[in-house]
Amino acid sequence: MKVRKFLQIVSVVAVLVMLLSACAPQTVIQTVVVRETSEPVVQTVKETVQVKETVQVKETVEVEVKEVVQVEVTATPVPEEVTYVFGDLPRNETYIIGSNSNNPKFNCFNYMSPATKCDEWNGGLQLSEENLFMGLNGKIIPVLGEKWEYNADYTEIKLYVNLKATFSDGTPVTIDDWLFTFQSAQANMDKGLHVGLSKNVTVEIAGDNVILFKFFKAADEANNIAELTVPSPNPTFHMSFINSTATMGYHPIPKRLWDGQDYVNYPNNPPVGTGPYTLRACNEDTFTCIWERRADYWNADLLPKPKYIVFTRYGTTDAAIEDFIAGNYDLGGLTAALNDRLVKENKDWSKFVGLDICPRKVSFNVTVKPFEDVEFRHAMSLLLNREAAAKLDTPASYIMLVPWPYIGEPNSRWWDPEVAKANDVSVYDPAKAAQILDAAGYKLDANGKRLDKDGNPIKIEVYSLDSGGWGAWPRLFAYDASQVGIEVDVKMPGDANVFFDAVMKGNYGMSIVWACAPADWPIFNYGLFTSSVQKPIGEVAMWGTTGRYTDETFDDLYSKLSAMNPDDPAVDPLMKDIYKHYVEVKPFVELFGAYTELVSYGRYWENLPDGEYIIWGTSYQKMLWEASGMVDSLPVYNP
Amino acid sequence: MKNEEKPEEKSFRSRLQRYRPLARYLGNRFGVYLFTLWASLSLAFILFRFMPGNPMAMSVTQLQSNAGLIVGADKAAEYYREKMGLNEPLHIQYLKFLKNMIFGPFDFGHSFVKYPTPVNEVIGRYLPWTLGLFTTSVILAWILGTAIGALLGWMRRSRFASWAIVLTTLINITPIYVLAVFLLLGLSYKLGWLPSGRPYDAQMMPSWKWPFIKSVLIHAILPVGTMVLVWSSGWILGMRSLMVSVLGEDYLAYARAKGLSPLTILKEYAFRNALLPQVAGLAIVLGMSLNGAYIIEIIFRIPGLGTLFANAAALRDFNTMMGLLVFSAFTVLTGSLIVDLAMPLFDPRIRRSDA
Repeated sequence: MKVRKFLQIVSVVAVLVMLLSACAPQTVIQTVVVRETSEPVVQTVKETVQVKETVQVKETVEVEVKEVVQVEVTATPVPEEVTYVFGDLPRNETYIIGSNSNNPKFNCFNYMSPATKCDEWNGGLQLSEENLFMGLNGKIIPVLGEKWEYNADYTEIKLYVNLKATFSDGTPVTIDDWLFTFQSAQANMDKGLHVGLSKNVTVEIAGDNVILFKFFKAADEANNIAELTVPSPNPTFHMSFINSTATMGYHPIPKRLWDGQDYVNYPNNPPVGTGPYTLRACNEDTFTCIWERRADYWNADLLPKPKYIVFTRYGTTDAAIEDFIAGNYDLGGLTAALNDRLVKENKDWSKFVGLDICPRKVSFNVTVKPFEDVEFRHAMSLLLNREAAAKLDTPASYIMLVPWPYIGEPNSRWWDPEVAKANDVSVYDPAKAAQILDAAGYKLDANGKRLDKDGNPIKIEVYSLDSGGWGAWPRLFAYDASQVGIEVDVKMPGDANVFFDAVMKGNYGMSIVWACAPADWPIFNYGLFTSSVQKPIGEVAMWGTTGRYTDETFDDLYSKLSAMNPDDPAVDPLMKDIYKHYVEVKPFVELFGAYTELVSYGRYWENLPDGEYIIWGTSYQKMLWEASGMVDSLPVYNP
Repeated sequence: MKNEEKPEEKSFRSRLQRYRPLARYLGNRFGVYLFTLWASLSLAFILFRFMPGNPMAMSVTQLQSNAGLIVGADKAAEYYREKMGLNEPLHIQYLKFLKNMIFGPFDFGHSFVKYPTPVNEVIGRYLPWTLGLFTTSVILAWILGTAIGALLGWMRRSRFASWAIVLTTLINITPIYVLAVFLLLGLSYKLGWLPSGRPYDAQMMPSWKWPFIKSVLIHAILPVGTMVLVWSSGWILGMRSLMVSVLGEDYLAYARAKGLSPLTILKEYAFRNALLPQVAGLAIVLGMSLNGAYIIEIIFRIPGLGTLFANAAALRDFNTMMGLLVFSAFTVLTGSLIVDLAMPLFDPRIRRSDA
C-alpha cells in the first residue's frame, strides 16, 4: 500500500512539473503606441469589481479626456545577458560553424596532403590559411600575392608575392618559404594529391619577392612527363593555382618547420599559417576546434569581426535539428527540405544559395552496346526529362546548355546557341527519340520491345544515387524509355561505394556524373575525353572519364586550348569548335546544373548574402568579410 | 602383491579420474572457441574484400569531384594501395593477415582513416571509451536486472509487480536507438538537464582533474542510462521468470514448512538457484550488447569503437575494419569462454558429468 501511495504522489508531482514547464512565461519585448484622436473622448480608465457582503458591486470611474498627446512608448531594451559557450567564450563574440564532416582526422592540419584525409575540410583549417589571390563575386582580391606577369610567349609566369605577411608564430613569410612550398608540392605530387603542380614546371626565385615558373614541353620518361596532360605554355595551370576560386589554393608553409619532415604525414598541429585566426584548442574526441583571432595579424584592415570561431561537428540529424532551432550554430546546413523548414519556422535563420561548380551530367559508357552509336546516345538524351528532374532536385536546379556552370546566360564566346539547338542540347522529346531509333535501325518487335542491331531486346543498366533529382531522373527515364520499347534496369545503391565501384570500373550503361569546372575557363571538362586519361574497362577510371569516350578531335582541340590564354580572342573559335564537337558526339549529355545552400543564424551575426564563395561552404574567411561588410573596401587586382 | 598399487597412487589416479569430465569439458569449450574465432575472422576477411570500393578510389573520387582533374592521381592511388597491401593476390593478403595477427601479434598494418597510424594504436585510442561505457552498462544492467527481477518474481502476486512487468516489457521491446534518441531529445534538448552528446565538454582537454572527470561522468549519464535501461529490462524479465519457476519447486515448500524466514528462503534457496542461467545468459548477450553499444556511441557522439567502425566502413579501411572485427570477436568469444569455464564453479553437475 505504501508503495502504491508513493507512486501516486510521484505521478502527481511529475504531471505538475510538466504542466508548470509548459506554462512557463515567455519574455516578450512589447511596443506600446497610444493613438492620436481628434475629439475629446470619455474613457474608462478604471473598472473594478468588488464583492461586498455577498453582493457584487461594479464601480466605474469615468473622466473626460481634454487633450490627447501622441506618445510612442517603446519598452526599454533590457541588455541581453552575455551567455558563454564552449567554456568561457562570449556567445556574441563567437561564430559557430556546424559541420557534417565525417573525416576522422579532425585535428590534422596538413593541407598539402588531402590524400591522407588531412585537408582543408578539417576543423576549420582555412581560418589559419590565406590564398595568393581570392576570387570573390567576380573580383580578384590580392591577399598573399601582389600580381603576376607572363613573358611574351606565355612560357613563364612571374609571381610577385607580398612579404608583409607573418605566420601565426610571429615569424615573417620569406621568399624561401614560398619556393619551398611550391617545390615540396611538386616533389610529392604522387603522394600528397594536392592540386597538381606538374613536373614540367621549374620553380625558382627571381627577385626579392618574385617566384618564376618556367614551363617546358619535353617528354621525359624518367620523370613520367609523358603522362602529363597539359603541355606548355599553360595558362590553364595558372588558373588552377593562382586564381583558385575553389578550396585548393597554395598557402605558404614555413620552411624551418617543414623541412626534413615527412611531407605526407606531418600533422602541422597546431597549424602555423598566415591567416587571421590561430588555433586555441582542438579535440578530436569532441570533434571541436576553437580558433582565436590573432592580435598580431599582418593585415589589420581585413581582420574579421568574430573574436572566436568554433568549428564543430553535428550529432545525428535529430540532434542537429534541435541545435539549429536553439541557435547553437551560426552557420551550417541540413538537407534542403530541413533547411526550408528551419528558415520558415524560425525567423532568426536565413538561407542563401550559391552556384555549385559541378553540374550533373549523364555519362554513356561507349564500350557497352548500343552506346557506341551516337544516334542511340542522341535518342537517349531526348528521353531525359530534365525539367521534371531539376524541379525535384534539392534545391531546385537549372537546365544547362553548356557543360560548365553559369548564372543567367553562359559566356557567349565559348558556345553557339544555334549549334545547341541543332543538336537537341537538353531537349526532352520522346517522339523524336522514337523516330531516331527507328531510322537508326533499332526496330520494335511484335511485343513492342526495341531490338538492337543484332536483333536482341535492348536493356539498359542505369546507375545513380537516390537523392532528390539524382533519384528522380532515372525513374523518369525508365518510364519514357519503356514507352519506346526499351527496358531500363535502374540501380541506385544505398552505399555510395557500390555506386562508385561500378561506375569507375565501367560496369554500367548510363550513369549520373558530375564534372567540376570554374566558370571562367571551363576546358577541364573537355579534357575528360582526351586519350591520355583513359583507362581500360575493369580498371578504376578517373572520375568523369568513366564512359571511356575519346577521339582525335578532343585530343587536338584540348591540346591547343590548354596552351592558350583564355583572354586571347583566338580562343573563341576553338572553344566553339570543341563545344560543337562535344554536343555532336555526346560523350556526356547535360542533366542539370546545381545550386548549393547553407543556413545562417542572424541573432549574433548579420545574415550573409548570396555569392559564389559559399561553394562547399568552406570559404569561411570570405564569408566573414562579406558579413563584416568589408568586401567593397577590399583591393581588387585587374591583370 | 607385485601388481598392487600404493594407496597414494590409487588415490592420485582416482582423483585424475574424477577430473576427467571437467578436463574434457574445458578442452571442448576451448576447441570450439578457437574454431569459432578462426571461422569468424576468415569469413569477415573474405566478405570485406568482396565489398565494392576501396579506400583510394573513394579518396581520389572525392578529391577529383572537388577539384577537377588532378595530375598524378593514379600514381597517388597506386602508392597508397601498395602501402596498404591491397595490390597482392587475395590469398597472399589472407595469409599475411593471419601471420601478422598471430605472430605480430595483432598487427593489422596501417589504418587509412588515421594514416599512417597503425591500426592497433587507433583502436587503443578509441577503446577506453567503448570499454568504459560498455562494461559499466553491462555490469550495472546485469546487477540491477537480476536484483529487480528476483524481487518482482518474489512479489509475483502484487499489482505493483504486474505493472512493473508491463513497463519492463515495453522498454525491452523498444529498440535501443529509439530510446536513445527519445531520451536525448527529451532530457537534453527539451528539458536541458543533461548534455546533448560528446564524451565531455567540447572545450576541455583530457586530464585527471576533477572538472574533467565530472564532465565525463555527466556526459556518460545519458548513454549509460539508455543501455542500462534497455539491457536491464531483459535481465529483469529473465530473472523474474526463473524466480517464479523456482518458487514453485517442492524444496521451497519444504523450506517454508521448516519455518525458515522469507529472507533466508529468498536469498539462500530461490535466488541462488535462479542465478545460474543468468550467469550463462551473460555470455550469450555480450555480442548483441556490443553492437548496441556501437549504435549508442554514434548517437551520443562518443569516440569509441562504434564510431571508428562507421568511419572505417565509409572509407573502406579494410585494415581498421579487420582490427575492430578481431577485437569484437576476440572479446565476445573470450567472454563466453570465461563464462563457460566458470560454470563448473557454480554448477557441480558440470564438474562430474561426462556430457
